[in-house]
Amino acid sequence: MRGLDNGRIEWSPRVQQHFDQCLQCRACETACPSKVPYGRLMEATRAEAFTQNKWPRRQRIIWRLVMRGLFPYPRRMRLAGYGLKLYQMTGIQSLVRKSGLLRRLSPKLADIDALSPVADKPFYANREAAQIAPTQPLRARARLITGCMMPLAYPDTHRATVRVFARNGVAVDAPESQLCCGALHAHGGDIEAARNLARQNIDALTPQTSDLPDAILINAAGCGSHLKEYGHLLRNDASYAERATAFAARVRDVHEYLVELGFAPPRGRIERTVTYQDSCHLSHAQNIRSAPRDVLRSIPGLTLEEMRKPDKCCGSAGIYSVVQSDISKRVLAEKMEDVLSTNAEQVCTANPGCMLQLDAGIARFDDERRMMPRSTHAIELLDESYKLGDQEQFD
Amino acid sequence: MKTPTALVHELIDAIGEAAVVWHDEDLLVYEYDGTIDRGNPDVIALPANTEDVASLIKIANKYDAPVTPRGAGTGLSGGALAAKGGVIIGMNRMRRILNIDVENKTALVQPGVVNLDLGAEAERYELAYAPDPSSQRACTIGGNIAENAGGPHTLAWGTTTNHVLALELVTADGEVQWIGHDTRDEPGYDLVGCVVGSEGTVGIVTQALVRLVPRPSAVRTMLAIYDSVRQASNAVSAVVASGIVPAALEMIDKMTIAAVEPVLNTGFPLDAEAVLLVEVDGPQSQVDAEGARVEGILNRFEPREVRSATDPIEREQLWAGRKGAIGALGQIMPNYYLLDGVVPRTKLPDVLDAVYEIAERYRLPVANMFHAGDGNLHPCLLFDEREPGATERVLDAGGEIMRVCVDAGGAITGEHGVGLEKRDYLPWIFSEADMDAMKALRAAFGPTENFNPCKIFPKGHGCGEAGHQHAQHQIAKFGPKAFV
Amino acid sequence: MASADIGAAGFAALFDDLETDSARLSRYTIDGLLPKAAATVHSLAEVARIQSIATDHDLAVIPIGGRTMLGLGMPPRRYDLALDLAGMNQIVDYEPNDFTITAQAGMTLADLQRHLATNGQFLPLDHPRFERATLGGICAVGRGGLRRNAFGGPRDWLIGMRMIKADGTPITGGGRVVKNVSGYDLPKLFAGSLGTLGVIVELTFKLRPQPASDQIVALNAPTFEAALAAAQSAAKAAPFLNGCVALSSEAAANAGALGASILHDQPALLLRANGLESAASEVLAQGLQAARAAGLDGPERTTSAIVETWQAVADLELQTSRQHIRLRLGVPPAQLIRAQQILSRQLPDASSWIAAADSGLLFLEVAAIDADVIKSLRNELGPLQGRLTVETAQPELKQAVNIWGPSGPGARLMHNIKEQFDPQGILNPGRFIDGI
Repeated sequence: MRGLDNGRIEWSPRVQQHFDQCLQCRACETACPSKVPYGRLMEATRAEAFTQNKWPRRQRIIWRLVMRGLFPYPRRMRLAGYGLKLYQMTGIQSLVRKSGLLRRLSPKLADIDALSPVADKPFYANREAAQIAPTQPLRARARLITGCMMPLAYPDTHRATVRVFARNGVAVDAPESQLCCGALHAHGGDIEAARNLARQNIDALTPQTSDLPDAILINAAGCGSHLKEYGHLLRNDASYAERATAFAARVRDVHEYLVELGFAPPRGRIERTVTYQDSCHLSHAQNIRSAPRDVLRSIPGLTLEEMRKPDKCCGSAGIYSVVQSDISKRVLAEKMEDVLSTNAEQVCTANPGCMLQLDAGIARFDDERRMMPRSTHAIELLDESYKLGDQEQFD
Repeated sequence: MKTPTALVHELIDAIGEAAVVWHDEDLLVYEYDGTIDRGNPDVIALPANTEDVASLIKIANKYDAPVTPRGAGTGLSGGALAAKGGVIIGMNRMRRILNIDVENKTALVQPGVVNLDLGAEAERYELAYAPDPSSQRACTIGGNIAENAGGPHTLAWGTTTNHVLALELVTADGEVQWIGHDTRDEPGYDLVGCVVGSEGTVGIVTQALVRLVPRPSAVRTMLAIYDSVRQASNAVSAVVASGIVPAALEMIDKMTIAAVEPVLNTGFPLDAEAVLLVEVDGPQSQVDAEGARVEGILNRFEPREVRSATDPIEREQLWAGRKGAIGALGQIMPNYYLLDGVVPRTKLPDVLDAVYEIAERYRLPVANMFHAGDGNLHPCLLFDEREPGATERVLDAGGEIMRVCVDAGGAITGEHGVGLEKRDYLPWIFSEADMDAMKALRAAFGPTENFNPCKIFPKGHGCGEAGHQHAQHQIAKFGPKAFV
Repeated sequence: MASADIGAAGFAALFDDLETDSARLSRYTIDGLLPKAAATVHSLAEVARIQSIATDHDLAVIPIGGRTMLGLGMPPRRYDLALDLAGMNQIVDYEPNDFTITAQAGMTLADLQRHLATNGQFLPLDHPRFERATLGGICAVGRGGLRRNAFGGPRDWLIGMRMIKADGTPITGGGRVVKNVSGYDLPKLFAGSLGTLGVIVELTFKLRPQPASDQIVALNAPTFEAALAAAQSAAKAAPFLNGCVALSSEAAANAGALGASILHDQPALLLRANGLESAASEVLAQGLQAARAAGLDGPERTTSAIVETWQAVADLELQTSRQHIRLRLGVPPAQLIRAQQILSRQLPDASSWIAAADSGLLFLEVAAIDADVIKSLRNELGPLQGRLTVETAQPELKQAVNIWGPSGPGARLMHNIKEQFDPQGILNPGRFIDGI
């Protein structure tokens, strides 16, 4: 970066490659005693390159198509989701995977295919949230950020989130008008798109500055760390700067908020050994490490067995697993070695990207089929334990 | 040297394109190791195994290209810089812990294993790898071996050389051999003892069998806060003289606290002149008794406060303040120059006074954080290299501080190595004959002239004078006479 | 003039103060060979001058200290001059509060320890016959003793050294500070080089404070094997023990004769721990508990004569019965029991076993041994990473078996080093590993 800054090197595809190969896991920020804000530096450098049109043409076109044309539009995303479901339900996916045709045609597409989630019934945010009533007395009002991927890939995580907070006296709503948080855009350097999304989300989630929710909840670590940066992102936008700061101040990761609130101890036993993968954007970017573990340890019967280096990146890193699939796969292979050397039956994490990546890892590396094929989010386990506990009470 | 392009092609043929780095913009990050000097390599090769290393060395020899081994580049003496260009062999891909032998308390590791990772792995078996340099989150075992690295806990346990049993070594002629044994001091010359601390000038270590030590059952870390450096250093001398061997005995001064405290929240008071970190370990009863005695000694020197970390988290926080200290200096000034002088322990208070006096005379802020119990100082001169004349001033002051250490009966480096940076000062402590004997040892390892050239020994064919006018200047000023 | 041509008169012309009387030279006998002359030196300059003359006249020189380990090594290829350093026995520099000391090579370990004890300090090295063994000799042999697991060997305590090269050039390595990477570590190279690279004349060590409490306890066992098994359990259970030795009944009896009365001439386990009183007791108790669990149920025997008892056991290394052969095995500690089984199967008559369980060291004695048996033992012990050396034996056997064993892959480098430091091969020729 300094080389670019002082003119010793020019922006070139090779230089770009170096920046693209960074996972932006921000473990370096945890490590750096001088507190160099690497994440911000990286985003600024990428933004510089993006705005000055220094990207290769092909990469630019795909970016505009996918990142600007698809992710910001919930309906288009849902449509894509249905498409994926069709692809899977008709059996074409398994056929394609078996034939290895795709790998021969385009290894990249095959990588994407390997990472694709099992399409589920999407989460219709507001409709579903409204149906779940909080227990009394009401302790707080919160608003859930649904995000672009989660409603499609992990709608159950959202459902569990709403139920868990309802169980703890928190009313959760999820305005339909919200959009993708823009984290992927900011990481990639498309700062304008990121700012637009931020402004629209601020309008959607905090329409009135006088009536802010107690918490703006997010269960995806990557989004959470970005949402907490809205203030920095819009610091030069006169009409939004203040609102963005207020917004960012209310953003809470779900684990963080549960612990802050003092959540009701769950009673349903889940006899299972799990291991917890720190999502980079939760541990390094938001410094949240103990809260998810506190949640897991509160569940009766559940054993948390730590893997080696739980805070080392799994290689998902937003769209990294697709863009830099080779490095991503190598990082994942190392991660899976650590995961599989524990006795865990399931791996638990805090970000949809990590879940997708770890699921792909389990499919590829767990030869003995020892682990549950799908990773999970701590909040889902908590939800399950609540449910089991409540059933027992009725029995 | 034939054309570098041909060299690059041959290296690529040997270990693959992805493992060879040679574009200008890619080489940039390999020109630097945190010291003042720079070196410009022609190409970086990243071997995956011992055979790769052997063939890389042979190819480089064919082209008469200098070879410079590199670990994490945290040595701070210029040891990992390609002083004459050529090939840097980066060992970072060879980073597997191959085996932990719990019964015999040994670990077999590749050289790119990060020190802290080995420590964490050993901890799973109630064992520890004793050398713990402050850069242990990044530095590699191979680099530790090259520099005979120390760290706070070498006061009781000794440095890297006391913990290496055997090595797989690729010598400068590209031959692979194991040296050393699974047990200590078996018959034959102590080749391992020669290679450890040889700063990568005789070969590249590709596997290491290291000792692990049992973890003590109890630990107590004490923080003593003083209103003068003199009081603190007198306390250090008193602890050492008392007959207790603490596990660690470290000092951190005011300037360092100013850098560390705001970001790491270690609990060091910002207005203290110096704090001491003292750790005792062993069986609980020993820790209790020794801890009380150390506390008593610390209290004799009018501390503002002596307190003990009561839980592992607090202990870790105190150590984060020490181990993160160098990294945190970036908040005060963009550059630092770390010195690594070591003096007999009774000379410590006087030498520290001299360090502050010299820094003041050169108008340089100085931060001290160091292994007081070993007499190993780390004055960090802070500066901004963009300011005209600043670098020269720093080098002058640094040379003068080193001279003070030598005159006190000490040495110019305790754990970072002579490297590129201090080679012109070696004659201050060794005669021509001494250095000739060292060079004879080097020659026994094969054609080593081009193997990490321009390191340790002054002069050297083709090393040029770049970056060394300052040393010549120093020698003119303080005399070239060998100390012994 | 080549060495063969120099008679007594010739030597006298070269050096003053030279011993050439063969009756008096007999004390320097090595493997039956007498030197042509002996020089007793008192200063660094004298050593330098002798080496320079020896180089000019190609005289084979063997540096000699306390003459306790002259039997170690292959028979010398040639032997012109015994260089007796026992007279260089002064302290050069000692600042107690630095915890370092510099002494001349001829000082005995016992003298050094007495000197240090007045300041409550000590050098943690065990060595047989420490009343006679000199610092230079101990470092030239370069081996750790029965407590090498806890304390390491001479290399681990040496921080500086002065040597005279074969050609008479004085050189220095290391320094007087406890941590030092200024230049190559020449003291490490010379420690354990058996006087083949240069003459060690001055040494600087780092020191330890004497522990507040040093404790020793013995438990008798029905057999040596039982004592060894218990030792291994104790070493595992109490990793902070600093001595953990099993002895057979002959070894116990021999040590008893030297003053180790607590062994009661029976197979025994001997444990040692130090530190603060309570800590040493705690460690010892852990070890004892494990030994009891391993089946040793006799009474615990202790003594206040700790150093004497320990030294009596250490001295056994040099107390081989007349005409007997002593073997030494170094092996990773976890393999010690298997290695012992191999040895006792192939050497049913072996006796006087001593094993340092935590250090992986084993000593034993045999009345006679066949070169083929040594070879077959080495083959069997090799996979366990065991190294068998023949410590004392008749020259014929030494020649037949190669007392050091196979030289291993580092031999090429060792020959290179020898070539660099002593190209003429005048220092201790032929006695070290691989013919060096």
